[in-house]
Amino acid sequence: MMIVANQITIRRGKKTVVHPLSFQVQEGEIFGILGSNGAGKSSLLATLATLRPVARGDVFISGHSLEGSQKFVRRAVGFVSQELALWDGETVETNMRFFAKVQGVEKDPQFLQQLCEQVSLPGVWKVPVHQLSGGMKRKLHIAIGLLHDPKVLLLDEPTVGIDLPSKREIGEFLTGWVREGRAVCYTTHDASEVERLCNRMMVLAEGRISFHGTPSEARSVTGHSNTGPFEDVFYDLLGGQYNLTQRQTEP
Amino acid sequence: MNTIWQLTKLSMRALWRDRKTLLLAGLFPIICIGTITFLLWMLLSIDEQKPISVALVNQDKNFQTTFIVEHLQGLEHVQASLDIQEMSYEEGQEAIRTNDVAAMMVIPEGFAASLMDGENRSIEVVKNEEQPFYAEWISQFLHSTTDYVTAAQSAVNTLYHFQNKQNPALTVDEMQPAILAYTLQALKGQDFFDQEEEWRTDASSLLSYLIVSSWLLVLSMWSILSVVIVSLKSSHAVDERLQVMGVPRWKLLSSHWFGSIAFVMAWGIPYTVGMSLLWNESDVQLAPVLGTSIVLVVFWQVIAFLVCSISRNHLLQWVLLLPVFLCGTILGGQWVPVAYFPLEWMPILDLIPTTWFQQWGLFAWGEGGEKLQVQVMILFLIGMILLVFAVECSRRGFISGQGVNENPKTHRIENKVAVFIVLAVIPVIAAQGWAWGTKEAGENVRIPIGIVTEEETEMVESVLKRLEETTQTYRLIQLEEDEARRALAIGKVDSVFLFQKGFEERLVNGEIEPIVTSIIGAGSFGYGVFQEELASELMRIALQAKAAVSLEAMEAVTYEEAYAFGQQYWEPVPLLTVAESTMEANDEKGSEEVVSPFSWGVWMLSASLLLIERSGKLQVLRTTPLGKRIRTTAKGWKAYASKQHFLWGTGLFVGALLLELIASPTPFMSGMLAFKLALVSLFLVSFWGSMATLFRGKNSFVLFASLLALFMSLLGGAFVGGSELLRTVTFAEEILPFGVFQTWLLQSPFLYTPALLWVGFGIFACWGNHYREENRS
Repeated sequence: MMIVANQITIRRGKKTVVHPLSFQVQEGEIFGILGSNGAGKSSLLATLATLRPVARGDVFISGHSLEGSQKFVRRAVGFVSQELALWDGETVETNMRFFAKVQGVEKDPQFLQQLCEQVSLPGVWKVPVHQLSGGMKRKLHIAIGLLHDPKVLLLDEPTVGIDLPSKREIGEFLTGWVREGRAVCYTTHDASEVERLCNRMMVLAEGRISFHGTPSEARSVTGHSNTGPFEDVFYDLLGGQYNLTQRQTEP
Repeated sequence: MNTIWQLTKLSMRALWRDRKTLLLAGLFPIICIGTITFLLWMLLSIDEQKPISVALVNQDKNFQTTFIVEHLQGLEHVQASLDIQEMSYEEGQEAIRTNDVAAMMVIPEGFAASLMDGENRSIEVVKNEEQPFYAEWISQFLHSTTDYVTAAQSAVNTLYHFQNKQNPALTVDEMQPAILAYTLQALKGQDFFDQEEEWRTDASSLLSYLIVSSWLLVLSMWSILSVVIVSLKSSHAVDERLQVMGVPRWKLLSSHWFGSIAFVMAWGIPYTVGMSLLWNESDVQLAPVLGTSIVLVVFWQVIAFLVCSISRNHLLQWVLLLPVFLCGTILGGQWVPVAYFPLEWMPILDLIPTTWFQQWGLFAWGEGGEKLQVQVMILFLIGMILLVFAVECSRRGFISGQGVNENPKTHRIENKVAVFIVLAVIPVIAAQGWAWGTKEAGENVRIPIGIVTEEETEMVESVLKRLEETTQTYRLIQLEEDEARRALAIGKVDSVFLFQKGFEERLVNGEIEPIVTSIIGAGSFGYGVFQEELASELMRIALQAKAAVSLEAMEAVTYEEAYAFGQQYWEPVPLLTVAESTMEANDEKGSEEVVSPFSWGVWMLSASLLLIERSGKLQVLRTTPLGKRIRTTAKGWKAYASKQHFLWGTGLFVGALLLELIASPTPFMSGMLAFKLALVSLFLVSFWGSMATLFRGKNSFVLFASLLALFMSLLGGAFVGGSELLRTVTFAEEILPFGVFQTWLLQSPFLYTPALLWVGFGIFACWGNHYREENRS
């Protein structure tokens, strides 16, 4: 198992943003987390990325406890936040080199360039970031998250605000990347993207699981046909009509 | 260390590319400091300490009274304190009404003749209610004059008593010429004094202080802002990513700090060089000022980091930073010289690090640096402790805006009850605090006089004790000679009186010769009247002694017996008394004491409203049904005028009325004034609020706001000539609420300086928030 979350609770100040929930992510799996605004998706992802503490429960990433082995967890995790974490005025090269250096990954420029090409970002090595398109910036953002060759990639709405070709390219890259025994856990509002990319998905509503399973299971429990838009399924799941929490949270 | 350097380098490069930041950071300090220096120059020339004007009405016109009046007017030390202007009774009354004189002294007709006849007559003193302190001071001066007569009377009384024993036929009338003779003798009171002059902080030093102080204020403000700006400019996401990559928080914090310091230095160094060229001609010592600057930059940046670290959002950052900044700089002596504070405050001020530089004269003439080593170490230690605390706090995730609440509902100011209350009561607290402070100061602050005694005798003690009992406008501070000279030099005492060795011995001989040295400096002001007080006291002893010596020479009685008798009749029924009355003046100067801080508070509040508005707290927030993006829409004039406007406006209106209620026992607050204040408050808040709404999201906002501040300053009388001109040539006085705009800036440099700085502070903050919004989008 790449990620094992066991009855975890997350608090922000005095407010509980994620109520006790459990889930697992396996090798070679893309796991999607959906939910409306304020449902606790980003908090959950930030917790997995060691940026927020776990109030209760246990989390293991690549076999390391989030509490006891933060250092090892950080080595195993690549985090791609929703907000672009880039030096806007610098070139792609400077950004890649800087983050590689901070990460303690001494890679030659050729490797870094290849990494950019892998995420469909060719020929922009010397281009300042602010001259890149939104989609290109997202890809660079993901490439930086992959610098230290993590086992788990955590993405917080990686495809927000970008065009369809770029979404496709990112999707294709992630699908190929997990095949090498890695895992991706990502949050999104794009329901159709989840159906297309994810092996399994989890829907959060007000910090609680309202659905946990595969996209096809989601269709069947909501009674939507296989041809209808997945947004309708997501909408029904958000309404909490299918409270599968009890069944799904048991390990 | 390498990570910190890399991070700082990239931050600085990002900042360097932002030409707007550089331009603003470069331009604003020179506008601030240039304007402040220029205005201080003008205001200081206006506010230069002049002798207190007093009207003298001599209705007697007898040669004796004329002689006494001319004698008084001719005394140099009296001239230093009082400007005695002879005029008619009607003119005197008019002078009080127009607040041109602090009091009127009236010598009644037949005054000298009555004295010669032994009839009790009074000198009338009419006090100006608007200037109670100075009026009391003048009254005290008159009392000292009557004390001369009483001293003479007492001595003559002793003479009469013993001579009458030998010659029972001696009548009181026969003794009257002796009283006058002794009184005239008493006028030689000043012969008791030697005078020395010491170097002392004068107007030009004060100007140096104010220039340096303004510079340090700007620097302190910029130090705080640099932290906030660098914090805003730095990407929250980059910070998070670096954390996940294993970069510890202290390294992130350090890189922000280095970035802030580099930011301050980027404009600070060229300007400091420029300032040094400017100051080259003045008394300012550059090296200590630079040293102080460095300490202050570090000090304020640590404070700013601490506040930013523990604040949950930007609004709270400003709410916390503002009082810290105000208290720190006020108590740090950056607005008002430390010597101007009441002496009771000194133990507190001694604890404030920035006053150390000033108190030991580092600002004025570069001395005392060697004494500061321990204090600088303490300051450094405090800084380090605070920094560690800031790092600890940052672990909570509140650094560089991580704690900013994205929930639109909690953005709104009315949901932040505590913050709202704090902001709403600031003007009232500021006004009442200031009024209370000035009132207390008026009652408690006395002119400090240093007393040095070279010999400790019973007589010295009894003289000092009597002086303490009778002199209500002076505070006597006993010091060692070195201490006293130092206190004089830095302005802690107005003047020093040194009781020379052999004081008692020479005094009891009845000789009038120098036994006290008065040490004064440039700008010493209150010593003249005190010298009169002391002289009358010494004269009383001297004339008693003289009488005793005379009686002993006549073999009427022994010296001891005669002197002891004189002591019994130390205070005979006074032949000459002072009748006191008061008169009201039609002047609003007193009112300004309340109006200025209130209007200043309103300006502060308005500016804070501006920045809240700019940061989107008062905007209508919309979210897409499933998307996260927050869109803002302008509320427009109409919408703006409803809820927020109502809340803030009502708060201020009620605040103003409360102020009237609280301050009504004081003579300088009237209902009409409070109402006027309330209206002006509403006007200012709506004005700034509307401007903020109108220009939201427009790049020209900063330029517009700067020009507006300049215009308001011009209108408000910051540029004295311009304002006077405006009042003369237009009907501005009719339409502007005179007494607020004018006093806000004209009252004193200490009020307008922070106000102007605060406007800058607010504009910069708004601009910073604007950038944050851009970053978010």
